[in-house]
Amino acid sequence: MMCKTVFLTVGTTHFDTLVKAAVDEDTLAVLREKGYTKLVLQIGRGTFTPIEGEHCGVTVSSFHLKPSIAEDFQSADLVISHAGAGSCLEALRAGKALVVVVNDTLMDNHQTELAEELANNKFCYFCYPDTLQETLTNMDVSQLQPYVPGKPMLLARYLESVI
Amino acid sequence: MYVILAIILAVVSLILLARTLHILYRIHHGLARTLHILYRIHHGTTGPLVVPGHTVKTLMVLGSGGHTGELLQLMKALDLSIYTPRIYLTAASDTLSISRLRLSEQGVETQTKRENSHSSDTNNQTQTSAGQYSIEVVPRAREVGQGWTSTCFTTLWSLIFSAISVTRHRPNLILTNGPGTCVPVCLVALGLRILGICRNRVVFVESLCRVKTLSLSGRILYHLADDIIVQWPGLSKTYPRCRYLGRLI
Repeated sequence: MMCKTVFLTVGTTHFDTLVKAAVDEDTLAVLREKGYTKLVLQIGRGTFTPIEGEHCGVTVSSFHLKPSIAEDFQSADLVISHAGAGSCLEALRAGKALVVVVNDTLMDNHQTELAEELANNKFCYFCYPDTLQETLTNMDVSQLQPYVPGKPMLLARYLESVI
Repeated sequence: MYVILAIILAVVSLILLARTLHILYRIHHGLARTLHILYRIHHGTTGPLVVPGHTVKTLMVLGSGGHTGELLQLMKALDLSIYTPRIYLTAASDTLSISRLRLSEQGVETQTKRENSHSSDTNNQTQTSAGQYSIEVVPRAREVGQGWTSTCFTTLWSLIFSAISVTRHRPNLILTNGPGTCVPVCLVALGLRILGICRNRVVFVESLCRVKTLSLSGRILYHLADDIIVQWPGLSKTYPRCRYLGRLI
């Protein structure tokens, strides 16, 4: 029997719409169908705290903030993240399937640019809180490409050529 | 008696005239120098900073969370024995950046000690310059979402402290990836170059998050920084002065 874990992170932001969408009964049902039995939510500065325990076959737990969430990334099979570059890259570097959810209530939402570009390169899926359920239903993580990290050496070489 | 007065008046007028012409010349000369430096920046022909083998005193501007994280990642690829001594400039409230940079520098020191203990070099070079760094704290130029009127005042305040820090250290290289605090620092560095106080190069590396548009700092410094390095090719098409080296993070 599949026992996969989903880790949801909103970084240090306040993103209740995503948290609510994730613990919605229908969404949990979709996750259960895909073999995910555990959902850990890192809710940051959010005010909505999901009820702990088992719902629709998925064990739900949550916390606000921790000094390091590296372990949560490592033990997850799927990561659902807000569009902060740090969270997205940490998930991708850990080699995890990633769904990036953009907070469309934010003004000047430049985070969308990176999320869209990563999705265009098939490194992750990209959606909004109200399309999360649909995205999870239709996603096929085997279609995702492994993340190709950038090369800071390119900057080092350039700097050495100009100093 | 009137003759004497007339002579005195003539002499004073001549002195004032000479002084005015001298000041105008200096302004003109300063203006010409400014334009020359801006021209060289625009055409990417700023000359080399140091002779080969010399170290480059580097000032790095850190910013909240993501900015610091990205910059420290970029630094991991640098040969820190060249870029030393290092000055890290942070905003007053950014304690997280300070602890992260200390960790990063401690990592460098450990690595250097490990390399030295394995080295068979007997030249007594146990104290490599890779471990030299200091931290400068300045008031934040602008808080996220701060109104534009108050931003003028806070930026001015930040500018004063940045001016003092940069003038004191006179770095050869200013490396930043775009937090608001970097704008006054880069402007002061440019000012020092115009005044002939020190040679330097301002290298602005746009964050990975910027795929289609430049950040506000990037747009302000677009014609004033020596290098605006971007991490997505589309940006160098929209903003021709930008340099795309490839994705860095």
